[in-house]
Amino acid sequence: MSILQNLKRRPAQTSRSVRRTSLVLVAVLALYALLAAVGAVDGAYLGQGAVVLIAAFGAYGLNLITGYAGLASIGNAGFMAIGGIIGWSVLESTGSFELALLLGGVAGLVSGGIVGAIALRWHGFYLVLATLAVQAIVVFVLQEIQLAPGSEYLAGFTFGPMTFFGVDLFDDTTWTVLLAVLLAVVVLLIAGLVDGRFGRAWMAIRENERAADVCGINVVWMKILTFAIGSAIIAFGGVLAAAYAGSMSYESFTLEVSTSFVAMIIVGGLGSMAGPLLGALVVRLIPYVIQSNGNTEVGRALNDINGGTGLPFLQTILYCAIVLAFLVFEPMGLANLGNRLRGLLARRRRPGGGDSGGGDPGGGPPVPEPPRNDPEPVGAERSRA
Amino acid sequence: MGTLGAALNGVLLLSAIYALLSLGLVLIFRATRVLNFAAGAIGLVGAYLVYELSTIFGSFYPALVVGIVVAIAFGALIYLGVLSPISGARASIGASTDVGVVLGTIILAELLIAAVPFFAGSRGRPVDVPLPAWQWSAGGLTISSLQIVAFVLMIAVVVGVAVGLRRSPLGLRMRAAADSPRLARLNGISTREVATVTWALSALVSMLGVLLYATSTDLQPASAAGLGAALFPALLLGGLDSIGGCILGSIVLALVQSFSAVYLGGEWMAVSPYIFLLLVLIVRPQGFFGKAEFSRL
Repeated sequence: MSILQNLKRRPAQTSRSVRRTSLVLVAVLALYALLAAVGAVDGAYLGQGAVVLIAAFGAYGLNLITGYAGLASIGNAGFMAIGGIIGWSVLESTGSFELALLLGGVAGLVSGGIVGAIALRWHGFYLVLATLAVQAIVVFVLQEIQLAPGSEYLAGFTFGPMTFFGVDLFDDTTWTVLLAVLLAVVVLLIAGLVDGRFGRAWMAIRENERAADVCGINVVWMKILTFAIGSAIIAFGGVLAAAYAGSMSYESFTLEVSTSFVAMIIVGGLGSMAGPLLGALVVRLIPYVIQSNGNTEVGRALNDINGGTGLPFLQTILYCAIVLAFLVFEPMGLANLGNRLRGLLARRRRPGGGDSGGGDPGGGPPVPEPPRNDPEPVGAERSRA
Repeated sequence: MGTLGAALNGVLLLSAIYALLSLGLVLIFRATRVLNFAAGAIGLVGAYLVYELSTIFGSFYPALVVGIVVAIAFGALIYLGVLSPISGARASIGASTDVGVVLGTIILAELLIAAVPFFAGSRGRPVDVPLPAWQWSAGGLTISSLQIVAFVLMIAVVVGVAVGLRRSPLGLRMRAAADSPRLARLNGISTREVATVTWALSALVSMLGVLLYATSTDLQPASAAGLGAALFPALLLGGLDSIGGCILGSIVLALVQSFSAVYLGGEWMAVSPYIFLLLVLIVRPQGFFGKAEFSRL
């Protein structure tokens, strides 16, 4: 019953907030690009900003897969590597960066489709295993190419000079503008998907797959398609990441990189429009924060536990702890902060007002809080007492 | 014979390692339907502790006993402190499968693998198990007492767990909770308690697995992380919820890995489990003994 109700009710309710959030995001990106273009952003921050923006592509792609379609995946680095290497070879052979971006994305779409078709036929966690395998295999292939006897790519695959529709990409300012524009396009694309048939299907599938099937949604096809689109965005981000860095090497596509994208979407908020960007910001900036505090009293004390080489470990520990705290205390992530604040204010205004208790936001209506009424308990339902 | 012997070298030990680790995963999957990505990391913590204690005590076996107790407590603590709260909060993520908990184990694995070298330093540690030195070799094949002990230990643990599940009252509760959590709860079984026990047990067998691993290679955080990920084909081949299947899957995985290393080259050692994993996913994702839930394509 709930599905039929939700199919009618939810989209109307959420589409407004999706559209509004995506427009706010586009405005923020435009403002940032503008500030960067007129030179109002300090040069030191531009580089970090570009890193955050690049990470946001991967986070948006993964959020489509995990947040909206509810499929766990840890293959981000693998698909970024696919995009990067395809983009590199296209740029190398044609000299066109636009084509490199396009074909890098297409490579992600195709490989995502294949992996999805393999892993999503069955109900369960096969996708997360398949993406794990893809990641390892892609990195292995890159490594074999790079370290082959007589290879000319020992130091990595280097990107030559690039132009994007006539604009030379040589400094952080132009890169920032380009990245912001492309990210805005991706955000609008995703908002369009969430707001349309895809979004309704995702919601139905997330709540109850069998009921979604009965409603005429081809669940498997929908999942494969979503995974392919998400992978395309991730691979697109992979081209950008490699091109921005100037070269790519198999060593930079580790499982930790994939995990950091998982961390971003959790911290930002699974299945939210603003989440991936917020998550990318937080997760990519934690290392800088720790680095800059490494010489304070606390930093030195912590570093001494390890004997002086603990900073990288400390970064990982801290950001993992933050992510776990988000999973426990605020599973809807930073994107829900607005609702939380509004809920707090509303409660203060009418003391003793009905609070649903638990971790639910007090009175913020826009973010859907799906009721759990599936007849068959799946997953952690089992582990809950 | 020489190459074949070399290929078979170490398969006993490797399959024992994989079987112990995947046993932990099977137990957790049965009890909570969660794929635990942190098995290698949890095992690593226990194994490090045993190493440190054995250097403090000056002998291995007392350290092992203390390590076992701590590993059990650690496993229970991880479930109660981290994963149970996540699965409780997960409802609001809105994913029908508990994606949140799986993501939680991935993050937890990374946390533990960074925490161990942070507190203990990142040099490798060889674990030396005092055993009578004995070995038998033919061609390139060498079988040492350690390998035999490892394999026998693995068989004993797996059979022990299987019998325990079948015969003991606790095992009955665990099977009931795995079978139908809702009915089990209606019959007064605390699924939370069952899950806690399962995680504790799983941490114990993971620790034994990583400890065995550390007898052949230095104990290092990165390698434990790889171990935690590389064992999934074994798990998948056996069927995610079959205890007997995980032994078979582990032996096959160990053979695949060892043969590919000998016949294709050492660099294939690390990647062959994943190629194998993809092949299993294509051909028979439900494994040999598992129950598959089909979606329609």
